[in-house]
Amino acid sequence: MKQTLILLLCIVLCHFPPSLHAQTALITVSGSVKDEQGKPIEGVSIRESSSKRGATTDKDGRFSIRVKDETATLEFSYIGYAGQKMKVKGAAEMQIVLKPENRNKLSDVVIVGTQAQSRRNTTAAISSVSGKDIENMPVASVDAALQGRVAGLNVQITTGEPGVAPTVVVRGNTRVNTNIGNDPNISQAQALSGPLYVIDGVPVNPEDISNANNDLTGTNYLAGININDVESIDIQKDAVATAAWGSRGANGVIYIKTKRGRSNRPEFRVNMYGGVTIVPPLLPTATGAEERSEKMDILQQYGTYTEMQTLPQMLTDSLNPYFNNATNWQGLFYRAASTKNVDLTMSAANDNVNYRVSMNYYNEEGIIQQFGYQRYSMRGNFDFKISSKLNSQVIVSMSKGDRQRGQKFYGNADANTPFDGTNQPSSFYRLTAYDTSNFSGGYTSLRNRNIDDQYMASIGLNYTIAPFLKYSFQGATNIISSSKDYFKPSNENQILLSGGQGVAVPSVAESDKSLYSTYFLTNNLNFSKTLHTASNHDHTFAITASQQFNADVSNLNTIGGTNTASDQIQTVSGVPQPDIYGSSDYKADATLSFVGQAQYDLDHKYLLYAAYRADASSRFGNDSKWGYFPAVGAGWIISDEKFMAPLKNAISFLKVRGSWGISGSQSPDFYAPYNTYSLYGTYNGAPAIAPSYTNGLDKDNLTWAKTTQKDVGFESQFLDNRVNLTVDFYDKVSKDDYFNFQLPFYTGFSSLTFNAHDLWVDNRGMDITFGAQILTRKSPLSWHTQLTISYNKNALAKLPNNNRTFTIDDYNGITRVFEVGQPIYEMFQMQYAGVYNKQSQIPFNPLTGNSITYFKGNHTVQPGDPIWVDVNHIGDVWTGEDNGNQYGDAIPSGDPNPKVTGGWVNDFTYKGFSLTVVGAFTWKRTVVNTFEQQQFNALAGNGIYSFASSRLPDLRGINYWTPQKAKSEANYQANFPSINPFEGYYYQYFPFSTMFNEDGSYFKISQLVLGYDIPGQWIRKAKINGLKVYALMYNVYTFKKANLPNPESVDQLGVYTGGLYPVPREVTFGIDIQF
Amino acid sequence: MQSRLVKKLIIIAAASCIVICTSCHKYLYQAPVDATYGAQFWTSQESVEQAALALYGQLRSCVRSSNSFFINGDLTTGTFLPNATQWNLDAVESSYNPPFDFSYVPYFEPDLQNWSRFYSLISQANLMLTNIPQMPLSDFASASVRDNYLAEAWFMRAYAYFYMIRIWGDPVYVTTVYNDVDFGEIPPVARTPENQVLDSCLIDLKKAAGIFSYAAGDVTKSVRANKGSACALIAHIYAWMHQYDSTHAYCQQVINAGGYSLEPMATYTNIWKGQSSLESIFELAMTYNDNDPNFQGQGSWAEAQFSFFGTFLKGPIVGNQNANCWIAPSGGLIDNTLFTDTTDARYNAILSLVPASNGDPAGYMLLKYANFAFQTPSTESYPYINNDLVIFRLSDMYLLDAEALAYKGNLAGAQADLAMTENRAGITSYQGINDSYDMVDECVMERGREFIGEGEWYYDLIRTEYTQGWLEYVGYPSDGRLSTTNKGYYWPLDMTTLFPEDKLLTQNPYWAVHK
Repeated sequence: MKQTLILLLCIVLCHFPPSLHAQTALITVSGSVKDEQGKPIEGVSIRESSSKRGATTDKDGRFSIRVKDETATLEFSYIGYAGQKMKVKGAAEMQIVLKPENRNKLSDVVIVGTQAQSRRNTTAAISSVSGKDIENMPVASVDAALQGRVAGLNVQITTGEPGVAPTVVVRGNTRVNTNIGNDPNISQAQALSGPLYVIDGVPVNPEDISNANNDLTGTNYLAGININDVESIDIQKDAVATAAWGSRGANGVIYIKTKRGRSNRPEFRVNMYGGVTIVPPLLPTATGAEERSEKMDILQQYGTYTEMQTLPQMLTDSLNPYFNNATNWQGLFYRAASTKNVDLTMSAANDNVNYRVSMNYYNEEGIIQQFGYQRYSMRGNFDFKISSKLNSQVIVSMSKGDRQRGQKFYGNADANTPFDGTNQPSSFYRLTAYDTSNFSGGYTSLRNRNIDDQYMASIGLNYTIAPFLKYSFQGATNIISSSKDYFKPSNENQILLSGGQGVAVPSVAESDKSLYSTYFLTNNLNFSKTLHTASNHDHTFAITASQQFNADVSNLNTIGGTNTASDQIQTVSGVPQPDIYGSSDYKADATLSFVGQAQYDLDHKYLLYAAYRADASSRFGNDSKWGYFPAVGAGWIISDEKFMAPLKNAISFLKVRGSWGISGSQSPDFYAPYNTYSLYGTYNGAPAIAPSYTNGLDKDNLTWAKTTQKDVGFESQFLDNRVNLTVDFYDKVSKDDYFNFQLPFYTGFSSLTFNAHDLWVDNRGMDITFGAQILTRKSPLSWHTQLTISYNKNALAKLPNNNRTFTIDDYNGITRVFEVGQPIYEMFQMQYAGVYNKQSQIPFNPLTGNSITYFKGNHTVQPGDPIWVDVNHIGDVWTGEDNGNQYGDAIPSGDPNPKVTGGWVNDFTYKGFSLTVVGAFTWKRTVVNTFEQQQFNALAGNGIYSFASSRLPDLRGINYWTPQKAKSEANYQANFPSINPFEGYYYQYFPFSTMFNEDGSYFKISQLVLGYDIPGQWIRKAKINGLKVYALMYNVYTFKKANLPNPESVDQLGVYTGGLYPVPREVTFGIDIQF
Repeated sequence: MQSRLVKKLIIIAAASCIVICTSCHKYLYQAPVDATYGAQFWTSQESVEQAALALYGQLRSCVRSSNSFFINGDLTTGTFLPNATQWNLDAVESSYNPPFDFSYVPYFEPDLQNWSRFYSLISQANLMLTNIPQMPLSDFASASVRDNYLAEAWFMRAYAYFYMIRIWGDPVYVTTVYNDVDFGEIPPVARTPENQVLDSCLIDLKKAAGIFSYAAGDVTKSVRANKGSACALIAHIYAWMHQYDSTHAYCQQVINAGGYSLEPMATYTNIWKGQSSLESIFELAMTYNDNDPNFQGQGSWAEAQFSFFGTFLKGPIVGNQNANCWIAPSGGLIDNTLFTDTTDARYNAILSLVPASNGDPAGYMLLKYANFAFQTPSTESYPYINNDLVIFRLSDMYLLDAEALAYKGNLAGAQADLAMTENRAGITSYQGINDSYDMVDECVMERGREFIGEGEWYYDLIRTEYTQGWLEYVGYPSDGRLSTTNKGYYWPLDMTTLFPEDKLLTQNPYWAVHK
């Protein structure tokens, strides 16, 4: 591949040698630049359009510049203001007034596939976020920063663990993962359909990377990119935008552009911030004497005389030093932490070279011991003008991400501390030296280094063959090297120290390396021309033909062993032979694509667009490699019509657009069409090979999964652009996705992944973006507000095997039903409807006349039991029945996919001060609190010893049923069932009923940023050109209904286990100096 | 100007072509190197050998799964009781109400009521039978080598169906490979009557027997199928179908031409020692070897395991690894029926009377498989039992022949056969029997003595049930469950799991109304 790249470069370079300009006489023009209030603006950059000669304004806003002649055009630009072009009119003094920058400017260029289009004339649904809006956010990756800013983009920060990806879904999930029951570590990439990222023109699919290297470090790929290097982010949502990325765009495309030099005066910037991360409040729990008295109270409510005589020593012996403690086990692991960030930037833009070089150090400590993420990154963006016809862009970036993740060995499971919801010990236990060393000590001597090195280099060439015909080439390589070094010492020492307490666990050492390389080549030919006809019409054409080639190579090595020679030797050496293991893996794939895109508009008013893309992938069968992805769009700029002219002041811009198209997604498996034969073991000492039971059959017709999307959108601006509103309606149907079929037993194979021709997932909804400049332009205080709302309805439209409904139990025991008309991962539970307070409230079994039963007749319902609704009216309530009703009384009971998400962003500026308030919300989502569920499960029905040795749940506000209260009050209403530890166990606190379902809606103030630009005259003496100070609070406050610490930090399937890494509050202070 | 433009365009086009044509084709057709796959696999004799070995490994894993081999063949006869901790096998006892209730075995359903695992073995055989004929003969050392692999596949498929029929009755009969179909729309297949399936198996087995040769005294050949095992299986299938002329003919073939001989009583346990006895016709290799990657994990493919044979053993004999095991209780079938004559040498050689412990009753521990060892003796870690599982052996042929002759009325012939095993054990119970019914009864009892703990006797009881009624004798209800229409001697199918996969599947008649 590299040879090919070099060869191509040679060909291109040999034939287009740089040419020299002719020098001509220059003239000098001068003038001044002011803002709308008439105040001079200092530091405005001025350039001659044709030559790129430049100048800047002084403190009085004055400038002078030498230009080629009296027809020259000057470009004025200044951060925060809209750029302006103006023709030099002779040698006269120029007066320029700059207006504040308008968000989502219509003149902006957006990249659709391989074609640059103006935002005004595109027929695609694209939302953009400026890098300025998200700079200095104390998060590791850009995806987390997008939350609440883009309609149609659902970002959920599921964990506070530094360096771990949030979930990102564009316009609804299309992924049906049937593996949710087996693997607690299903990462976001596998449970939900994540978007394709295109970074400076180079496509990157984080899902591929994590699949190929087995999620070695589990670090978010995007964490390797410094947020402060990002110039802009375009989120491409409809088929017109994504079909141009065709093969891999089905789940949306996020296009990230990094910053380039923009000032013709060399700039040197230092930006630093630092702050503290605050330990979140620990989950409330009663400890010590309080716990004892609460427990005894409970027992006295339920226990009979005999039962109370046989209480465990733990409860009765309050003087025993082993049991009279008040240990708060959570407290062992949390700490206050800090965040630091330093950026250094050098940049300049002149006639022939434009550069920006940045360096970054980011260090986020985790609030749990042994967690953290550090990044060291460098990025250089260079533009060279080789001749008037040929220019080149070179991008080089390197970054090192170093993540600590506690004792977690694999994935991002919720094993953040040694205690999860199920094993929270009582506070009575004494924290022994063994415990201390085993828990926190085991942490400190643990070695768990997870390094991700990313290298990216890209060369682009643009050659103007003729004014209407341009050729461009881009060649890029992107290499991600991940390594994990893990060592966990044996606990022999602790056992010795504690006099033989504890179970021996051998030491473990493992060292894994992976290398994932992507090579990308593209050739584009772009034709664009505007024809003026005699009838005074403009016909504008833009036609682009492109070819793309993409290849990935993945290497993975693992070595490891147990029982290392010593706890000081923390690598795999000296391990006894039977305890050593090792393996390596190699995978490669390639995609070849041809893309045609055509744009046409009549008088810039009537817009037409069509794209067609053909892709061949090595991941598909010989007969089905090629996939074809068409898209069409049309638009009408109504506001340009004559009949709208009278309304021009009220409606400054109004566009209607519609699109239809097909985009695709690849198989996640590099060698999907190949069946796999595996070495199962030996028979009589010789190797035996048979096909894999899960991938053993031929599937030569495996092909692309496809998503068809329709979109109708309105874009409008009112009141001289002070108010804008964009509304999109879409309907997206995904078919043929890769589905793990459970095969019938008589095939001999258990399952197979193949295109599910009958698996249709429908997502339809609405994206709304409303923006307004609330106060008039004259007002010294400016207030810009932006509200985004996304509504999405997710439903399975068709299922394999004649729409056969099926269920999968997730890892936490919550059944998910897959049924036509229901959303993906819909919960399927018995309905909990309160408490049977009195015997008289308990219904009768219609057949026997006795009280109804639970658990297939094994438990007769009595007062204090939860009410589980007898949906099928057979007098017994359970999730399954023996009489042929497979699902018993379970019904669809909760949708973990949020229906409505969005955000509210407010920017205030007053003189040099700025204040930004960012809010994000989610509405209509069901989450399950399995943490509380597990606590109650340990408490009630599981015997007195489990009751004594487990931690109490937070019982405040829980009016649990007791026999005494039921007897004494006539209209007794408990709001929670009996928690009698002496009662028989019938899974009363199991998440198969809706007892622990909660409303996952929330509104969170995610960010508060206060900034101050220190005025020029104060800092000039220090030879500083600009100085800004700012303070930022992240994750400020969450308004919620649910009884969870944070309804957002639940897993991808909406489950809160109590073990997840809490999302902490951070406060940072920063300074940005420009020399 | 125009010509320059054209020239440049040509150069660009040429450059693009170089990239596309020279490299992309190669890149678009990439095959895995981290695993082998179908098109690449079926290209050498070595691969076919590895595929053939997988047949045996899969059968081994099928029969060992949850010790189903012994549950199905021995526990169901009431000779042994499940150990005291196996509450979920309580229903497979004569004292349970209703007795031997096969429908209630919590957590054992995937092994006792679900036959899916045997279809992995059948598909492997089908795969060999599909692919080997398509390979050029030059891939093999000779045509006979190639045909021998086909014969092994026929044998193993037939054995799998026969094994399943003896447990669940009519199987779903499949002889094709499900390659390149619409995996969301695989058509359901109904059950095929067992006699039809057995007829097909006999055709396959006779073809195989024509290809195979006998082991001819080579004890190491017993771990693979050969002519002896094929004929033994044919004899068993004919016996199951009550076609005793053919049973007799095939038993005689094995006895006379196979080159096998009975193990002397002094070295009786050599039969299960692994490739050590001329008596063994077909056995599954389960002895320890150093190359076994699955041994330490004790997965289903581990060659030597502890838990399979270990189910019969506890206490010091297995280094106290087991506190409980299956016991043939005192006062049960051993004392009252099978070994009433305690001079039987087998009574002392393979049974050991142990007191009650840990909830297990007092009774007999079976010592057929007792070659216990540790992989690392110094730390007493990685225990295993170093024995093979014998499927067919010469005694089986003598006793099956005796049964066939007894049914045919040839009492003298039957006595001569019975004498082979009884004389070895030092008893003569066959003497003085002079009617066919009693002779068959003696055959059943001698099989009970000879094959105790070999996963066999229950099928003997089913086979002879229509005349002898032994199942009622060991405790099965006589409420019509055992009639040939109810077929309550077969196990129920786990319809909750299997029916959604195959909408034409039906439950066994008795369990359709008694589950």
